[in-house]
Amino acid sequence: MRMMLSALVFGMTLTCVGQPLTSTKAERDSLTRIVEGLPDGSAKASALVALCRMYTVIDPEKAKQLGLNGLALARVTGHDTLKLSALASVGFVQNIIGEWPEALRINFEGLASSESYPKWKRWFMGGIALSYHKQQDYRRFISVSQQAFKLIEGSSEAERGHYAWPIHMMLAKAYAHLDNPDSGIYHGQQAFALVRYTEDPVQGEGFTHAAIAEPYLENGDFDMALSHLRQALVTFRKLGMGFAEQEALRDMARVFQRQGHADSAYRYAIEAFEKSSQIENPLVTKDVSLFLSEYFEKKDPLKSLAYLKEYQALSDSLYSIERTNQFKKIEFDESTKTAEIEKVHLANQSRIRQNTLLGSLTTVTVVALLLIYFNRQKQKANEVLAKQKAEIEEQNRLIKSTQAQLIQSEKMASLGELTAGIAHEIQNPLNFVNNFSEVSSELVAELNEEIEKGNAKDAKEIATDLKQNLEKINHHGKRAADIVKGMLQHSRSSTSQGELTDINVLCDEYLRLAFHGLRAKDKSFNAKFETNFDPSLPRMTVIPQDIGRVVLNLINNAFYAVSERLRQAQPEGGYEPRVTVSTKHLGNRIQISIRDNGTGIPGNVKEKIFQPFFTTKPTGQGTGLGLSLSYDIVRAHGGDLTVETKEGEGTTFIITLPHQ
Amino acid sequence: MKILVVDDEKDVQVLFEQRFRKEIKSGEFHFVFAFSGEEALRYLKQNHSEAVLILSDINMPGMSGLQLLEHIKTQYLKPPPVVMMITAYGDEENHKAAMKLGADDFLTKPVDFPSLKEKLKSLAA
Repeated sequence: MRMMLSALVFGMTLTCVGQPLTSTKAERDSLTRIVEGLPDGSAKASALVALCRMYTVIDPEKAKQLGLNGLALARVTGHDTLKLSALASVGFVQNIIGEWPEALRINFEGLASSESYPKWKRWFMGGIALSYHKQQDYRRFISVSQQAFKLIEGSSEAERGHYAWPIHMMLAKAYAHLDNPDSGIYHGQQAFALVRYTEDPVQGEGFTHAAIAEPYLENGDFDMALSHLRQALVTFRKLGMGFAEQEALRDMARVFQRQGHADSAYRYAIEAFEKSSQIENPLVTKDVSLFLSEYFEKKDPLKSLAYLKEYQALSDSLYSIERTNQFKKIEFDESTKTAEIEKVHLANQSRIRQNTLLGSLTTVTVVALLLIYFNRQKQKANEVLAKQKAEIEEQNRLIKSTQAQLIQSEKMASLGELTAGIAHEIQNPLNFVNNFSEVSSELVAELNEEIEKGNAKDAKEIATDLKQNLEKINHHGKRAADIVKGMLQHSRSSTSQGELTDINVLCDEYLRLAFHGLRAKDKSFNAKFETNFDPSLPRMTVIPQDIGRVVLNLINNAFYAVSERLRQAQPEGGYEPRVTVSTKHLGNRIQISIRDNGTGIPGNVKEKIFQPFFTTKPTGQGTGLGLSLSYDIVRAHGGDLTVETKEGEGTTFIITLPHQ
Repeated sequence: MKILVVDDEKDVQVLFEQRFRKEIKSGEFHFVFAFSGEEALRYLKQNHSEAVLILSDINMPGMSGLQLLEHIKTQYLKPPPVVMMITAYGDEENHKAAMKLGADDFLTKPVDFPSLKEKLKSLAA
């Protein structure tokens, strides 16, 4: 339901502390002159507060200033009821203009000072309820309402009805919002039952109609909601209550919107919006602006944007973070004060129970303080954590992108190592292609000669050679194409599909590439390499360039190990570098082993070789990713990569791959 | 003239046999083939000094062409045959190494067969 409305409604009960809200201009002007002529003191304070009340509806901002001045004077005079009256007036006007944290502060101060003034105490309790209600903190509102109802227990029915009526109305809305429309309707009906006790039952009935419409709407009972709203509108128009009328119009729009009658909804919404030129009611105007912005979203984006801007501006001013914080702070201060007041109160009641009660209350207070302290610490910790989380995420992102770059650079590095080998490997088949085609054209010339001579036998022989040459050309052409294809696959960064692959052929190709690559880099390099391929090896589905990269990497390492040992060996030591690549079919898995008789891996190094960035090569010569990537690739194929090594004797890397 | 060709590429045999088909037919040249340095040495050992000319690739797995050259020129055969080195890497370093080890000629791939034929013919003459 409408906050503004409830504020006004609640204002009606102010008469219970004997001060009018309505006034004429003549009355206000004459009182203003009186105030100006008065010296600072309780009389002036009293007059300022009265003037504040007079301006509350007409000019709330001015009223607030008058009230605050009156309150300042009242505090100095130390006059209890004057101070309470000032607090009540200021808190009320602050609720009207939407300064809820300030209103709450004032009303809590009033509550703390009004122990001996039950009527005032009720008022302040009501004001606190109103602030929570306005802040849409319905759970707290309901709890405060229950305390408020307790304050009027034992009062006369008229007095109870008078005080409880606005609370029941607000409860109708609160329950509607807490998904409990039945309780809302109940409280609305309670309000109807009590409305006769109010100052102006006709006006009160109008408010009640508007209030009960909310839970009916939540209940999906559109007809009841519309019927109550129409009655409310009639009353508000008759009494000329623009505020209330605007809210009722907005609520009509809401009901029609929920019913799916967009155009009816629009009619009421635009009427409500037009009221905002006469009435300063930001909450309702905000709602209606959002509604109209949504309504125009498709039809007229410019209009939609204009309404959205209006909505945003109003939202910002109404719910600034600062206000929420102030709200929380006041609440905290007040809970401590209440505990203290309660403590004194109880001490007077019973001396015997004093110690235990004080003890337990102190405990409660201490616990409460601790909870609040821990809560704050937790919030701080959470902030720190959130910050750290953001930092970690940023670092993580950086690491990932660096990792991707490194993997790519590792690929490119191994591509670089390959290039020389590829050049050699590609040069050879191309030479054959060229040579065989040249020879073939010579042969064709000879063939013609033989035909002319009528030498069929020789001609046939030449033709056979020609056929063989064409096959050779084709074979070597394909060989070159395969190398280029492999090279492209190798540099590609996207993950590829598995292909049925002959592991023996793959190992042979990469062995040659590795050998020639190294030879191209280091002319003096040489090593014996042997292959020991199991002919029964089944063709397997693997990502060939990935497994190829692993094999290449392991063979390169093996050649590196033997060349290191050769470098360290005595010239006449008879050391013969040897690298052996073997395959083995082991039932449901296959094994590729790459054995070298190189330097071997020391124990402390062996543990680290599969770690990323670990390398024994001089800086700049290895990325330290080769084995780590190899390990990952083999694992990704569901296999395993192990190492057997003896320092000074050699190393064997074993790739085991499952065979489906 | 008996010529030993050493290369790990087996199709070299077919190629040479066709490139020199006339010379082979006429009996001018006689080619034998080895597909590794080790095999070449074995052949030379078994068929003592039969080959008067050796054409060897440098880049081969196992024993390289240069090692083969060194064996032939320093330890193995007397009188040493003519050894021509062939390589895909026609770089200065390989060239120098080959010449230092006593290579008689240094050819780069792709082999220019007409000029190779000229050279072989002038050696045979």
